[in-house]
Amino acid sequence: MTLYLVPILSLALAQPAPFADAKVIHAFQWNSDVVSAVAFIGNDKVAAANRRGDILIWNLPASGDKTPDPVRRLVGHTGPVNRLLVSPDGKTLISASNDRTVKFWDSLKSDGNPGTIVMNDGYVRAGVSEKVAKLPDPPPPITAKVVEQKPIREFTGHKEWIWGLALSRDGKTLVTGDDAKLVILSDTQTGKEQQRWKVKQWVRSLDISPDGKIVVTAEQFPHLTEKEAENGLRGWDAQTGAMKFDASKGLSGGVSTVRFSEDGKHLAFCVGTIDRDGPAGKVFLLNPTTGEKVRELTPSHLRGATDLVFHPDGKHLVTCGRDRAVKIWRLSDGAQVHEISLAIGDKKKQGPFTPTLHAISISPDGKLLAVADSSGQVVVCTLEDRKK
Amino acid sequence: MLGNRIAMISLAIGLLVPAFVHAQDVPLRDIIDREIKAGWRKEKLSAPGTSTDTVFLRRLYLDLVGMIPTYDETTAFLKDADPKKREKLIDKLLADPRYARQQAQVFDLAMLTRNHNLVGGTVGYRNRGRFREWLATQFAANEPYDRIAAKILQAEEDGSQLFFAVYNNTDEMVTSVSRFFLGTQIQCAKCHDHPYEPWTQKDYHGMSGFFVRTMAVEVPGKPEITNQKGKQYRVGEKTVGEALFSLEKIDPKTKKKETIPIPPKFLLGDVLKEPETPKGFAEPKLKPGEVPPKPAFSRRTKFIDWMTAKENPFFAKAIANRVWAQFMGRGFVHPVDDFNAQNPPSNPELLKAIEKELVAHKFDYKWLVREIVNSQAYQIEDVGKVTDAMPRFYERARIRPLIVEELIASLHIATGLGVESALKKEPSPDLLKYLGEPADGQGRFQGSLSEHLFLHNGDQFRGMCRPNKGNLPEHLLMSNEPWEAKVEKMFLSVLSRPATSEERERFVKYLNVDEKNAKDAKSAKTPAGQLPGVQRMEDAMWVLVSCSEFRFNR
Amino acid sequence: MKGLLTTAGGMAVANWGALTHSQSLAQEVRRAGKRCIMLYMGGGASQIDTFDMKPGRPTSGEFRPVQTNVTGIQVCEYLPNIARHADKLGIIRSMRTRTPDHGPGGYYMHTGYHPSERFPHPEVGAMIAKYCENPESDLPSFVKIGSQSGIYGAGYLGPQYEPFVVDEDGRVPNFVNPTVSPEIQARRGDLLNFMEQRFAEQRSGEPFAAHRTAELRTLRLMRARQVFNVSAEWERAKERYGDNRFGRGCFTALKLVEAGVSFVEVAHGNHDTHMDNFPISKALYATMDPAWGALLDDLTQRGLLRDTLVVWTSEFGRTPAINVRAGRDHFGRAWTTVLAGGGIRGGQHYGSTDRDGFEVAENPVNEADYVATIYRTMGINPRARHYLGSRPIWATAEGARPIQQLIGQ
Repeated sequence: MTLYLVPILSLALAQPAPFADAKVIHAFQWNSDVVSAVAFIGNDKVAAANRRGDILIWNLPASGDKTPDPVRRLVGHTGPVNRLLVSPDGKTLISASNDRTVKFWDSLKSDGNPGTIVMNDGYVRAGVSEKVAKLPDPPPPITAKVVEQKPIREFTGHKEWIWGLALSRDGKTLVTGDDAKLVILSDTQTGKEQQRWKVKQWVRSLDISPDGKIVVTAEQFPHLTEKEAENGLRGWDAQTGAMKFDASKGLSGGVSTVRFSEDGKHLAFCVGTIDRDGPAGKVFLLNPTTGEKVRELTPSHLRGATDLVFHPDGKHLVTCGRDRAVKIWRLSDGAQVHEISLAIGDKKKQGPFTPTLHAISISPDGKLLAVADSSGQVVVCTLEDRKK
Repeated sequence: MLGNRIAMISLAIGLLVPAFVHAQDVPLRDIIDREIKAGWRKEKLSAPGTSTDTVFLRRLYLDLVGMIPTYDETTAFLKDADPKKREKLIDKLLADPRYARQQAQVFDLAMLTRNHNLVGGTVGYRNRGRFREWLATQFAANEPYDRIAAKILQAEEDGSQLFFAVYNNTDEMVTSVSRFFLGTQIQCAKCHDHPYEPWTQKDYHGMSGFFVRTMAVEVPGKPEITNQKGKQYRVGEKTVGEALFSLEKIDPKTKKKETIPIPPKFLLGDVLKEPETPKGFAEPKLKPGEVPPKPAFSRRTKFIDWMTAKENPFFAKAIANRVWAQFMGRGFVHPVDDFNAQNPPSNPELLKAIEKELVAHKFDYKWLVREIVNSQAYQIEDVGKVTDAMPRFYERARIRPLIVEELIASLHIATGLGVESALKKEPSPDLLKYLGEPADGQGRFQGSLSEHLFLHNGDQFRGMCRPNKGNLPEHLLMSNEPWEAKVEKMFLSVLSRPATSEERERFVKYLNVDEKNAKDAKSAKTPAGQLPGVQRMEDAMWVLVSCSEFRFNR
Repeated sequence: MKGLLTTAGGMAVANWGALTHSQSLAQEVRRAGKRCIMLYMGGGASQIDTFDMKPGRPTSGEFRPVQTNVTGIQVCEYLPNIARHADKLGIIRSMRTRTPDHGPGGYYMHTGYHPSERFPHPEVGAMIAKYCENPESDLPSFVKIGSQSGIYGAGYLGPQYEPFVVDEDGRVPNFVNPTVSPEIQARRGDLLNFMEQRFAEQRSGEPFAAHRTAELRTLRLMRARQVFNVSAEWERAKERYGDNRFGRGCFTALKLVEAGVSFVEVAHGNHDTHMDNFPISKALYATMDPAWGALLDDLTQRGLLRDTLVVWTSEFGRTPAINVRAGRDHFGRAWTTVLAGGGIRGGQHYGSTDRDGFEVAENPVNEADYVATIYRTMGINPRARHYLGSRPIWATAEGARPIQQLIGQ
């Protein structure tokens, strides 16, 4: 599959444009079910999960080597995995799923029971399926030899789909939120609950401020028409569960991801839980204590923005969306400095019938970017300048 | 005798001279009457009589200017002894500025329907207002219909752009253009070859090709202004863009259905010949409210040329049918936009004759209307045993409910507020909601309970019937005329006819009752509200505007 | 979605005066006094995500099935209230219908006829109103709560069976309340009657008759309007039904059938999930399930279920294959409707689909069969015949087979 990169002229003047040399270096083909989450483990491993409940880990090769197969398979989830997260010390991978569990995995362990996994037993998604007489015959299976591993522990405090997953910056407190409108803070190691409170709607995403004081939730009760949907974005006191701010007014759609920056100076969210026509993928920066709007980042994604992550350099924000674009923004003035387009074919034809990008992750050293791409792959890009 | 001689000479000339000279010999109104009468004979229907003056008066006013005649207009016409008064009234109304307004209203509703997207609700109604104003200028100047159609599709003149703002994606454009301008329902052919008609998917997508590059944008404006005056739009056309048709085959590389671009193809016609698009052409980035620069080759213009050409097999027929249906109730083809093999015209010869004459007169719209309403067929009576709302062989005048705009304007006239006041009023959201769609999808009047509840208890109707602001009820209450004269004035104002003696007696008995106070708190506050008989006056007016005789155009 | 957005063709002449039908049959049914509540899921409800789940298959989607109170019947985990009532449900999993488009599909499922046929067919509500109405009652016998399902009308049955349409939450507009004293209303009504009678002497046009009929029905409706005011009881009921528009609409439907209205249709939407089917459907079921479950609870508790047929239906189903936007598209080849009450033999499936849900495996049911089943359950002959002029027209088409297995006594 060929991908096209469409760099946009950056607005920086004298210096060479940052990220201008960003390019795809790997595309791990994984076409079993929608690839829905991705996370870097250290700077050399990528974990990705799909909506069948499988989690695979690839070891990134030294530069120049060919695209590797996955080496590990994490077995345990029985439902779609919504979020993946790695602890600050890099030792634990955490996954949240519709199967009502949050599972913890040893992110560095490399041994386990030998096994295989078929990498292409998903099916071709046709357009208006009325014309499809039946699912097409599956292609000959492509398998990978993997090592199978089990979770080291689980958190079972939730009784509904879990979309909200965050860790305190010291890695000790797990913050989770579910479709029963529940937010739970628990001890990462023991699973003991410390706090729980009800928010107003289903939790789609949440994050805890680096100082551990505020939990921000992105909430939704979706509907086919945006007018009838209920969308929320609220800040809560992490100790007491009291609401500290409500930034829900004026939301143009469901918020797909909300995050604090590492230094706690920025709070960002993006809109796009439901596919909508036009520039529906808006991205905003808010004041991290009051929730007041600081600015909107434009031009927005088309049809929706699905995930965002702050760059470790503390100066940039990266978002991905349903237009198959990865946008890199400068925090100081909100300008878009670069766009990586993973368009399939003609970029202008990325319409409602092209698969979306679901999630992104950046390596701790800020040099690599990984994208969960529902066209059936995990894409890894380098963000480094060529000169380096 | 003379007529025959002329006919024979015309026939002789007709053999030598092109058709358009021959066409002017027999006026269309006579052709219409001849054919309709032949139809009655064929179906063994008894020929209906002519409408009375009062029935004709009211019917004509509603059809041509969208409101009932005022008291003065009514009395003047009824008193007039001129045998040609009907023809003169027609000429007078066609020259009245209200004709253009009414025609614009009818067109707008037929094209955009009542509640579609941008034009539903109160704010949407204002959007229509701009479009209607522009349309009215076209009808006022009697622009030929083919030019009007071309302008609507070209969407360059200020105010003309609403069509593409409402139908803003390719599918809706194809469907609505086919439906309104070509009289053809082609939308089924989008997903599969039509089960009964010859339209295939390739035909549908071939038509898409003409519109796929067209786009409409809203011109950004201050909400305080656009909510009051309606939004503005611009319509443009990109230089590249293809209608894609997806095949059954799956492309092995992308693992998706193969799509191939379909070249634009005229319906039942040829593929469009167009120049090569420049390679590597990139559409310029557009700011909000901006449309692309005019393309060197405009597919939409080519479509317009084809559509309005004399040989086009659909265009003239569709408008002939539509105008006929507007005045006669039912098109030769019914529904009016559904020409197809299973739905042949009820009188193919007459349809063909009208089509031919219209083309010969270069799509002179006012001429066509004048001919139709001058025919005896249009002027037949409204009484009889036939129960159909829209009789198929036009053996009784058609019955249709007043649309909301006509209703509100007529209410103003009926209550003596005058034409100027009637022209200014916009239907309220409640009126639009409860009386906006009196008929179901097949045009049958539904008589909804909600409508009647609104009539009974909504303040709009009752408010108009109360004595107020120099209106008729107030004037009548304060005048010293005898009650018989007052009742006569009421009937002439509201129902555009004199009362019968029984009606006069009954109403006088109702009104001439000694009641000390107004029973209604609201009217008690007005000066007229202190007068005796206020409530009964309101009741009597309410009865007259709520009855079937007022509600319908017959 | 107004019924018949596209004009469906020139209609045959409708002449209510020439209507002939079996008088005795109508009288018989009237005595039975059955009622019907139709829960109409606008947009196309997904059968694989509700009643015809395919666990473990590629088409299964993100919901899981749960056991109900009937062995062998499983429903979506997000229909817990309905799961308690499985013993009452006749689940028709083998609907196979022809028109997966909103307008024509809605028409077909409401009338049992394809819109291309040029007859003014009445919708199910009008037919039931005619045969099951209580002529003494002042209430309209056909009420539509929410107009999103489309208004198809009473067709050849005449304007007195046109639906009274109220808002989605069952509320009637304020002007159902009379604003003049009964004395004034009566005397002006007399005067209006005088005018109408004189006018009608020489004019028998249908629209005039429709206008007059509506006037009379309106007067009766105003007399009986209190029934629609459910606010007091709603305060207690809203916890069980769900404090939302559909919940209140279902509760209003309950009160209306209690008061003797023959047919109430409640609309719920919008199920047209071409994208993001799972979160949207989950939200939809969160309002649909409690209301439907509470309705069945209350009907049972008040002893009304045996005489009240509750229909759960849509214009078509949704594709087993999940599309690129995580949605499901329109699908007519194999989908589900559900009947309960009114004597329906509950606790069973009727018909089934293949392993992935693409085709009906046994006992296909088409639109006419489905409508015939409803009529038969209500005690109406599915082949009840009327005349348009001299042309006969039947309530359902020839060959329509009511599902005997589901229809009790």
